[in-house]
Parts: sequence; structure tokens; C-alpha cells
Amino acid sequence: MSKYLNPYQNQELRYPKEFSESINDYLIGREEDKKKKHALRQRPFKRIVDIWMLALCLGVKKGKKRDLDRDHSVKFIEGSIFTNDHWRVNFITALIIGIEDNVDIIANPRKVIQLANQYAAGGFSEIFNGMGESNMDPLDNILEMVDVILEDSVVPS
Amino acid sequence: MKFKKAAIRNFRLLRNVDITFSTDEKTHLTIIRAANDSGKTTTLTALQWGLYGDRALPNKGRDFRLAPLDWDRSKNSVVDIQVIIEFEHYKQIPLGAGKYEHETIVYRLIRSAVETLHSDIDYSRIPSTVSLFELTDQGDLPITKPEVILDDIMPAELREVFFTDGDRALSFIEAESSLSLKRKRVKGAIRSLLGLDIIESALDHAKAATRVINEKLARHSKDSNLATIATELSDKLKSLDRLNTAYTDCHDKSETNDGQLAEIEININNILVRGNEEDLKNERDKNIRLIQYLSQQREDLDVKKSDLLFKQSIAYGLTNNTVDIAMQKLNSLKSKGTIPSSTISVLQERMKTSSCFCGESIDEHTTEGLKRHNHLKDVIQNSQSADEKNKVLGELFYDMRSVDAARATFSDNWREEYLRLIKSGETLKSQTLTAEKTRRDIDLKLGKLKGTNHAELKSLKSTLKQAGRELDEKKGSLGHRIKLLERDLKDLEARREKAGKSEKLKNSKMSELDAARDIVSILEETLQNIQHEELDKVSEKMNQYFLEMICSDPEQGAIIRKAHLTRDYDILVYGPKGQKLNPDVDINGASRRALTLSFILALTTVSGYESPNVIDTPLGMTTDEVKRSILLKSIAYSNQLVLFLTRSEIYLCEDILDDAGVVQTMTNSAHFPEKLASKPPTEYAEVLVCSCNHRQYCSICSRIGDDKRKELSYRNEV
Repeated sequence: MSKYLNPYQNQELRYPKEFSESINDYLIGREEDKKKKHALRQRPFKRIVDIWMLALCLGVKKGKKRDLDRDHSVKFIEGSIFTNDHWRVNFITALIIGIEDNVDIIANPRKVIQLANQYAAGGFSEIFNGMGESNMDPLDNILEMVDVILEDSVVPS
Repeated sequence: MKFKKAAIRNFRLLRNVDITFSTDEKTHLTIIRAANDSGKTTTLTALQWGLYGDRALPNKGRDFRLAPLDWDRSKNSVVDIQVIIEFEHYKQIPLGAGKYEHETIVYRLIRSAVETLHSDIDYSRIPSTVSLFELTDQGDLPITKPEVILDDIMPAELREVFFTDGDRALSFIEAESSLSLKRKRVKGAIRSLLGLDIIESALDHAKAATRVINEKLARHSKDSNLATIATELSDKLKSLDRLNTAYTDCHDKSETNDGQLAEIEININNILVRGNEEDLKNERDKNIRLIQYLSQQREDLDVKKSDLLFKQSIAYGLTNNTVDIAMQKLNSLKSKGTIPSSTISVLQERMKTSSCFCGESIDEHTTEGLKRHNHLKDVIQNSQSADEKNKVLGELFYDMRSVDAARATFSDNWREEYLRLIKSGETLKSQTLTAEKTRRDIDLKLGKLKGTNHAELKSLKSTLKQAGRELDEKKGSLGHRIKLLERDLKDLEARREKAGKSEKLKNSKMSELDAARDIVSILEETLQNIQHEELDKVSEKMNQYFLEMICSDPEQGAIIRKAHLTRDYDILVYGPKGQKLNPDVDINGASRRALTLSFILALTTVSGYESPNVIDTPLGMTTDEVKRSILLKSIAYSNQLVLFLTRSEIYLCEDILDDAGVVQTMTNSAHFPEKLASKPPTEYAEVLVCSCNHRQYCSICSRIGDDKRKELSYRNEV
């Protein structure tokens, strides 16, 4: 896809309202947070869109999809955020084609992001459960969780 | 006396430690299992501080901080330190006619101190206070003078008998103590346990009474010769008393002087070992910079780890199967030609020439060339007619094709990077822990060095040596004068006897004098008997226990034939031909431990004193047979035995320890992750106590490799 083309420019990225507090807990937003020693270990994510992307991947991996209506969800940004990370545009498009097993879906960017929001909604709980799972710090917990999933996914040669 | 339980709060590594002791007569053994650097010696110090106060602390508490070293001053700079000990004591109540009734009294002792932390190094502490309560059915009754009761139950002279640090090379025979210091320790322990002080005081009293009677006799005698003799006798007795007091004073001063000299020599040696203050400060600064550097490295590592969460590789790695489906679709469209080529313009340019990129002819004027020319024309036309959707799919296809080749390795690459960062993190953490430990050690050394100066110590040593020489001279002179005076007294007493007989004076004063002199001589004899006979008994028992303990070591058995306690309070060891062996040099570490334990147990056995023996690392440096033998004998010959043992000391003695009344395990949380298998449930470096016995491990005390040790099994915590 042309690196200047972002079909999701005006689409709303959303997350379930119930995760607002958890998202805030794991986001290293404020300056005072950053100054704290080893703050990243407790708050590993810099932007909500980063949590959303990981949630989308985990939601797809685990086949978890949740309906998301406007009343029970929060819009945090529009798809224009992807313009700087163009690989994400291609990735989301390919992912949704793969899920729907249909290339025609690309004609409907709204539908693509709606589906992505639904899978991300399913993946949020995976992230938050994973981060608080063991005695380690949230950053180490989530990395270990991803590592285990990737290790399990390896097809023996 | 027996310990029942102890609670220790904020005492160095012991932030919150509770210990239970076995008081059962049959199973009077309590085991506290702890690895090195897990609070064994600190617990020993805490218990002694509880009973004896600040004088029981190393260096009498000077420059010895009690509060935990990692105490968070920002939260609270005032630290409450407390040791609570509950113990029972058998009191003998006289019923008359030589009969006694025994009563068990339970006490609770509370020793408290408050330390204010001004900086990481500077602190101040007010002297500790002690409270004692008798626990009765009616409630806890406060004791008004706790020190008196405590001194009666656990005399300070016996501290080293009750509490023995096996690792500190055994104070009664250790090399670093001077001869007089060793003698003083042995003598102090024996005198206190055998009650020699009481008899000596009675003897002094009887001697004073003799003097008084003699003076009266001089005043009331009608015979002038007898009166003169009595006056002279009285004066000489007074002089002898003065000389004896001066001699004892001189002797004590000389021993103290010797002790101070030995201490200074140890300090000088320590300074030479530790290095000077300037070097240590430089080392500390260097260490602080290293800790800061490592901390920054760990922060950078966290950033790299966090970045791992946003990488393209993690997204594709997690969803490869789904993206595969999309790629199959796109490839299929491409092969059907639905996806247009992005090189149409290039192809159009090429059509203007007569040969293709591959070198084949596309010349319209040849048959084969025309065929190829037309095919390319069709491809270009088909592509140009694709709709907007196909254009988008085409662009997606070409973009994805550049990622597709790498997709298969994304997952492995991500994991490889992740494991590399984890490994770096572990290395950095371990380096940080080592650096922090080094800093603590340096701080400790600096603390000990505070106020000490090599040149000053050397000058003090020289002064003390001179003082020692002067005291020896004075002692010699006093001893000579005492001898002369005693000879004069003997003559005078003979003359008085004669004069009394010639006057046929058998008045009541003479009878009183005779009686007083008899008492003095009985007490002198008793004192000598106790000093000699009881000392011999201790010597005999010590020899018996010692040989029993080391008998299983053929090597030492061949060298050592006898251990003996002399009347000068020296502990000596003899070889097969009666040659004297130096306990510091000629016998091994295991035998030295056995010798000290034998002395302590012999002393408690002979005195009949019912007291606990708390011993730290008694079985270090011992072979398996000697270890078992020392353990069995120590259990057999003590009233209440509390042993702090490492796992290697326990190894192959498990069956003996199965009979222990109480077994607990102490763990230092700072040993995670180098030595401990599980993350401890605390953020501080502190000692944790669990109820695992010598055959168990749990999530608190589990050390790396425990799961592979056959003699251990996992204990589920309730």
C-alpha cells in the first residue's frame, strides 16, 4: 500500500470503558512517573495505541472477539496515528483479510477498524491478567507471557 | 533456666523474627537451620543484647548500628528496636532441715532502644532499657529491679558459656586472645559457676572479725607483753590486708592491661588488613559510581525491553497463521493477474525496444518476437484496466512481499532478542547486588575504623607495654613484702601463743580468737578445695567429653591423648608422649571446637547450673564421624541446647536431628536470586523464619538445587 495512503485515517480506535483504569495504571504518561526509578517496569506502555496493538494481536491469537458499542467504549484516537508507523496499516489490513478470508473487506475501512477494535477488546484482558500474574514486575510478566505464546506457536521442524 | 521464645524487631537483618525454643526435658534440642550470612550470629547477638544490654554488643555497642542497613529513612528516620525473651526459671525455696521445694517461674524480658538515623551512615542511639515481668495466672507482674534477677539467673561472667560462637575461633582457647585474657575468661566462668566469689567474701568477713577480736584482746590484756604482741599483730594484719588489696588491685590492673594490649594488637592487625580510611573512602566512591552506572544500565535495558512490545516482529509473530491466509489470497490474486504489476511503466518503456529484460527478442517483425510482444501488451492492458480495489490490493501485495520473506523468522528473532535482554538483566542485577554488598561491607569497615588511628594505636600500645612492665615490678615488690609480713605474722602468732600459755590466760577473748581463726582456716581450706577439687572435676569431665567427641577421628586421636584444665586456669592439650600441644596450632579446627564445647559442657555439668547453651555453627570444619559425635555428646550433656546449623553441618546428621524438639529455618531475602530459588515476599534485605525442619524446604527457604537433593522434600505452606 502506498506509504502515503492510510485508509483508516478517520476511523475511531476504541477500547472497552471498563479497562480505563487499568490502561491508566500501565501507561507511563506523566513526567513524574518517568522520573521514578525503574518506572518502566511498572508502567511498560508509552501510548494507548501500543497497548491496543498488542491487545489486537493477542485477541486474534486467542480467537477472542468482543462486541463493542459506543456507550460502553472509549474513543482514544483516530487511525491517523498509523501514518507514522505505516507497517501497522498493512498489518491490520492483512490481518483482517486473513480473519475474514476475504479481500473485499478492504473496500470498507470502517468495517476493518470495527473488527480490529473488537479483537483488541478481547485481547485487553489477556494483557492485564498477564501483567499481574506472578511476583515479577508487569514488564517482565507481559514479556514472559508473549515469549511462552511464541514458544508454543513454533511448529517443530 | 530455659528459653521459651524470643521476638526480635528491627535488629539489623532481623526486622521481624520470632523463634520458639524446645523446653521439653527429653527433647531439649532446638535447631535453627540457616545458611551463612542468614542471621545466625546476629540472632546470637540479639539474644545477648536482650539479656545483658549494650555491653554485650560488639565493641560494647560503640559504632555498632542496630537498625537495618536498608532502612528507608524517607519514611521514618526513627527506628524502634526491641528484643523480647520469654524464659522459665526453677527457683529453689528452702523448707528447712535441708529440704527444698522447686517452683517454676516464667518471665518475660523486654529490651528496647531507639535509633535516629541522620544519614545513611550517621545515627544516634540512646542507651537501651530493660523491663522484666513475671507471668502469673493473675497477669504480668512487673519486676522493679530486673538487673538483679537477671544477674542472678544469667550472670554476665557466664555469657560466653551460655552463648558460644563456633566461628569466632572459640574465646577460651582462641589464638587472638592473650594468655591472661584466656585465663581471665576461663577463671571468670569457673568462679561464677562454682560460686567462689561467695566463699571469698565470707573469708574476708572472717578475717576482719579475727582482726577485731585481736584488737580487743590487745586492749583488755593485763599482760603488757601479750598486749604488745596483740597490738603488733593487729597492725601487721592491717598492713597485710592493705598489701593484699594492693596486690589484687595490681594483679587486676595487670590483667586488664594485658587484655587492652591484646585488643590493640588485634585492632592494629585489623587496620592493616582493612586498609586505611582514605583508601576505603575512595573505594566507596568508586563503588557508588559503579552502582549508579549499573542502575542506568538497568534503566536502559528496561527501555529496550519495553520497545520489544511494540516491534513489528511481535505483531507478525503472534498472528502469523492469520496473515498467512491473507498472503495466500494475495498470491492467488497475483497469479490470476488480478493484482497488477507495479512495473507497467517500465514494461511500456521496454516495449519500445526490440528485446526483453531476459534477453529474448520482442521484435514484432519475427514470429517468436511478435508472440512475446503481444503477450506483454496483454499484460499491460489487463493491469491498466484493474479497478481501484485491485490497485490497493496490488500495493498491499508488494508491500507485504517485502515483509513476507522475513515473517517466518520474526518469532525466533523476537525470542532471541528477548532472551538476550533477560540474560543481560540477570547479569546486571547480580552485578548490582554484588556492588551493593561491597558497599555495605565498606560502610561496615568504615564504621569500625571511625575514630581509630594507626599511629595513635601504636603509641597507646607502647604506653600500655610500659605500664605493664611497671605493674609487674610493683607486683613483684608487693609479693615480696607480703611474704615477709606473713613470716612476721607467723612469728608473732607463735609468740602470742606462748605468752598466752605462760599467763595461763584462757579468757573468753582468746576463745573467740581461736574460733575466728578456725573459721578462717576452714573457709581457706574450702576455697582451696573448691578451687582445686572442683577445678579438677571440670578438668576431668572436659577431658572425658573431649576424647569422646574426637575419638572417631583417627588422625586427631593419634595426636591428642588428654585435655587438662590447670589450676592457673589454662586449658592444655597433651600428645601421646605427654608433650604439651598448642590448641591454636597443633590441633585442627574440629578438635578446637570440640575442646571449647567440652569445657562449656563440663563446667555446666559440674556446677549443676541449669542453663541453656546457645551455640552458633558448632560443627564447622568437622568430618562426618566427629560431627555426629560432637552433636550426640552435646545433646547428652546439656540441659537445653540451641544450635544454629548450616545445611552442610546438618548433612548426614539428619537422623540425630529427627529427635529435636523444635526445628526452624532462617533465610536471608538478599540471597535471591543468586542462592534462593523463589522471590521472597519482602522488598527488604531481611531474615525470614519458616517452620521447615532439616528435611524440608518451602517457597521461602528453598535454595537453588534443593529440588535435586534427595534428603529434602517440599513442604506446602498452610
